[in-house]
Amino acid sequence: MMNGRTRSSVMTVAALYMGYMAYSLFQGRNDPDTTMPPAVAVLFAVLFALAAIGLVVYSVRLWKARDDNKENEQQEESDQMK
Amino acid sequence: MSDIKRTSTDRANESVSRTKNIGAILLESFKKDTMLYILVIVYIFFLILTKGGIFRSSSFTELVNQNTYVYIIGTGMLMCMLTGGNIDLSCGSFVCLLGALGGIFMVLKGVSAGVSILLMLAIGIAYGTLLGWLIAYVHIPPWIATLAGYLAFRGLGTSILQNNSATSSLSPIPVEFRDVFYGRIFPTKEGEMNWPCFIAGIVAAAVIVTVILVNRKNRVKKGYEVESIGKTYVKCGIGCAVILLLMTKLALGGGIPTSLLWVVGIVLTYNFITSRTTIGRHFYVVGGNIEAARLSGVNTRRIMFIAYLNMAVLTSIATMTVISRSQSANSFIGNNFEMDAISACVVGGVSASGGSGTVLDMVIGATLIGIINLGMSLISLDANYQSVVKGFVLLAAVVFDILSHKRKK
Repeated sequence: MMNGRTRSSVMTVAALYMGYMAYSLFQGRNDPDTTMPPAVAVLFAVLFALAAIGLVVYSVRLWKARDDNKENEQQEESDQMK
Repeated sequence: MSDIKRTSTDRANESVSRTKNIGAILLESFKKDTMLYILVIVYIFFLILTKGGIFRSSSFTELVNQNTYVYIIGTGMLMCMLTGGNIDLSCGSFVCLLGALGGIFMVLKGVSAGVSILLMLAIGIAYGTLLGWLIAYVHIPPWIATLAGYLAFRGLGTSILQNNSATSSLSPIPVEFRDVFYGRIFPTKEGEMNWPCFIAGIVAAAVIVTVILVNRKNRVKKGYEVESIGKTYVKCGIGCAVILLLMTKLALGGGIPTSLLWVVGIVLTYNFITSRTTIGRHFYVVGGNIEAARLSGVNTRRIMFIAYLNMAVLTSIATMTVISRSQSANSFIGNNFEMDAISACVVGGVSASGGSGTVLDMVIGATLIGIINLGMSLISLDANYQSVVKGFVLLAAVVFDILSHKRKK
């Protein structure tokens, strides 16, 4: 299951989830029902946001690496046919 | 004298090499079944943290009931992901919409449980057909097609509920409907031994052992490499112990929940389809290399269509289990279902030796997340802290995958 394309998609989805977590933690930082101090909520929100950005970057690099591999394979095939 | 010295040195060397062999076997086993080991460690962790609370019969029943939707939607999501990392973002919102429609049928219009089930399935099939056609034949990217559903369906479901109920909630869901998805088989009082459940556990354990041994025998006959018979017996023993423990706990908790039957039925069916049928293998082939699959004669469009049609049908079944459990249709049901399902697939599909992406892997992932959720509820952890823990679990699974992939390279 975990080939280049799948891994890239999974990383992107994980990034979206991290981003969503960061957003909900930030939004809920002043919720009176929570025992989490606002500063801690903001800290975790920032951590998850950074993780989301990192995963997006990694996912883009995976996708580019997959495209490069495809081009190389096609080049090799056309060289062999010559 | 020198002979005795040599013998004791030889014995010491043998002991060292046996220890190394056991260490190597354990390491190899850990690499192959990473998530299973982590599941056990996390369970033991929460067992200590909850002072045995997670080992109660009611906790086992709650684990099954609370996570039924994850197992069912997770199976559908896995089938979509097998086609090349495609996902369905609309399933959670569709649960809200379909739940609202189901509430209207049963609570407002007085439609019987049987007819309501058929109607809800028909709506699921209609949506799945439309979605599958848009993705497979019109070539709309799955992200966009399902994102549209994600945005539209919740609003639609909420407005239907608001227009038909002052509290934006339709209840009560009829008992006949609830019993199909949230009842119990031969129910007994909690604390009283439910013998049909216990006997079902013994039968299930016997069947699993037979299947494992017969599979091994067939593989040996065909000349395939198989693990040692000792390892097989250990696996059988552990499997039997887990099944008997689960069924004993359920037996003391009032009987087999019908939701467990749905989960087991769906998981076993799809495990069979993905591992033993041609169409199941086509899903892996399409996900591996779609061009090569197409050139090999696989109808890739049909596979994509089936993946999304199947997802919609399983989402319909999950909706029925959810509204049965909540005994109402309201605008909050289905929240984050797609994320839970994706997390189960991602967490379960990760191992140091590379994700295999089977239904059973997804079940392990879903069970791990379920145990973490249940454990956190039992220790009354704040909702924000629970979100943080869930986020870190997914992040850990993703980082583990990145590191093991780099190591493999």
